[in-house]
Amino acid sequence: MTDRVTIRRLATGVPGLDQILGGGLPEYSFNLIAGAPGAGKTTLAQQIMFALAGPDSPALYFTVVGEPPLKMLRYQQQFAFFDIARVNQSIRYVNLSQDVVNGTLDKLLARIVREVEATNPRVVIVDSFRTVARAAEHASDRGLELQDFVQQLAVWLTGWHATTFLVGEYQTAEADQNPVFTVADGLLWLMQSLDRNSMVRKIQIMKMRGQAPIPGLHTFRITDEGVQVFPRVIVGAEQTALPAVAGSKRAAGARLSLGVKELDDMCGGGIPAGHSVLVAGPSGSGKSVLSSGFISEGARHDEPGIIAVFEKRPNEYSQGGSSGQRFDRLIREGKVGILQTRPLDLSIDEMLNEVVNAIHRLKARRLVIDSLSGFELALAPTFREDFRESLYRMVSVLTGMGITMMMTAEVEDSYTHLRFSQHGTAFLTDAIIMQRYMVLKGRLQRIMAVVKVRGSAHSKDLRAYEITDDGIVMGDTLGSYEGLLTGDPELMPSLPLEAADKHPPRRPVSPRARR
Amino acid sequence: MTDLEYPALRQIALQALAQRAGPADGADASAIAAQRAYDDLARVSAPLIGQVGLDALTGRTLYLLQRKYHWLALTPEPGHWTGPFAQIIFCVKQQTPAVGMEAAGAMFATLAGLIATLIGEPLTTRLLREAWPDPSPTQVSRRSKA
Repeated sequence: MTDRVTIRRLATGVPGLDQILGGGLPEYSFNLIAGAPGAGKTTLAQQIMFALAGPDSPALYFTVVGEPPLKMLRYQQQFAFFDIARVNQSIRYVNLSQDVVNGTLDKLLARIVREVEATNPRVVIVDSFRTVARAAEHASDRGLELQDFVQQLAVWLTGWHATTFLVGEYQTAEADQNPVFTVADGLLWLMQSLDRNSMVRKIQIMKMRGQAPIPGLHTFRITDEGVQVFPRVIVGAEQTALPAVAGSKRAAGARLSLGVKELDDMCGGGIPAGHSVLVAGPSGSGKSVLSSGFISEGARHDEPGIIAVFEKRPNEYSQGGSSGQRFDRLIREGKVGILQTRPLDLSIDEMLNEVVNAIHRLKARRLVIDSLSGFELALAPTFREDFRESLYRMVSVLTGMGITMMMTAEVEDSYTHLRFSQHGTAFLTDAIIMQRYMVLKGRLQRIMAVVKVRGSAHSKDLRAYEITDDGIVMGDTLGSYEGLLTGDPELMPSLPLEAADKHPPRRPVSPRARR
Repeated sequence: MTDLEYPALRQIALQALAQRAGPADGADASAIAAQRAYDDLARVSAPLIGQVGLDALTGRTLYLLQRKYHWLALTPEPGHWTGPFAQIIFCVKQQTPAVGMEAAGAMFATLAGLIATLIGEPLTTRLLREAWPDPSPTQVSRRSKA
């Protein structure tokens, strides 16, 4: 038993917000929701109020000069959380415009006190408090100074066991001087970040007395459901922030099939569970075919999987051939899920949130991101700058949950040097499979190699492969040629022609190869 | 005014007006009933939509009603004008009880319709029901006996 007071934390009803607040909203706290016009302050305040208010915990919403109450009611009704049945029941709106325009801060405080005494609310919101402060600044008979007013209001509302939000339009530069910021227990700052015509909403918990909020800027989105916050995932904290997938514990050293037996062999017996794999290759080399095969193979063995699609249309995965039909059936059976995210204004944390939700929904164990280039393009420009760091966070979190993930990266064939991704992200992954083209016997031939499998021996062979209706079919090792990575290999002179004909089969040897 | 037609709200408004009319049938009866109904409505709606909001909607109501009731354009003596609702009351008092009551009913139905176009019919219905509660069965039976 401890002598310390226990601070009860209230669930705000805003997905993701409790997490960044450090576990919920401290009961009886006196908070400020600040930000520029249009930042989403009123929507956030209303959503919290509707979540907290109930028959035994009424809420008082003071509207002051600012957004006209008629308009506020009109627009807020569009959100799913706005429950008309609770208006003037557990939620009371009180318009203070006249009190602010005609009175002093003493009188305003007295009015608020009267309303609070009449309602005995557990939640009080003053929107917008900034207009209260402005009116006080311009009043000829100011009565109470703003600092005294805020101080008395905070003490008084806490005394009445109310959890309070003041909502106001503030600039970050004001935070040092304004008494409201000093008195407030919690400071939630909302902002809109504009970058190359793309707008991203962000929230920062600048302080929350009595607990430790997640630091930094978190993205949020406003939809018909209201506000949803996407907590910025900090690597190292993911074990507590994101639960492991149910049943994700596998035998130590378990290896998973990629769906192509010969490729499994090249990897040393499949990919270690919980690893991240990068499949790099030029357009048309079969990255998506390999990754959908990886997902199908898992689904057939009771390991549901998800493909996050950024380039193709979802139905392109199930088109054509018997493998496409099998894939389609796995989707219908709920063993495979396809995530198609809204493009161009995504944050890594929002994407991660969607993926994690899908993982838990499907109890997925495998994940494909197809492709990294498409993913980067889907992000708002402001997040593209630190794509590598963001990807590192995402891979760490997902593999930490026990997910085995495969990412595809389109790289242009370069015959002068080896590249595995445009993003310098190859080092983030545990395994790399390289695909590329070369000219062999007068036609383009696809070849594949396993470049690395962390902590595991693997084949160094370059092998030909074909894409068929059944997926990827591996050919032979091209051991008879040299200069394969130049894209224009030559038959090794020491080998007889017959040996070359064995590698790969079914192909006539080109005149060049015969030289 | 068809876009302001909310039959259910009109019904509530007419019922509220009738309840407040009382037994007197003098020239002021309709004005008194309208004043009582308006006071009850203002008590509930002003905190929610603001006094300024209520005044604005009442002003628009007066403007719309003047198309049908031209006599609503009559204004009090200069210096006595205290708002659109006061003007309506002033004008209603000049009419016979029947005409006054009809105009007052139209006024509340229009006002309720204007509120509903902005905040929706469900919320407006809640507001009107709170301002003008349904008469209890006892009240109804007493009134019918009277």
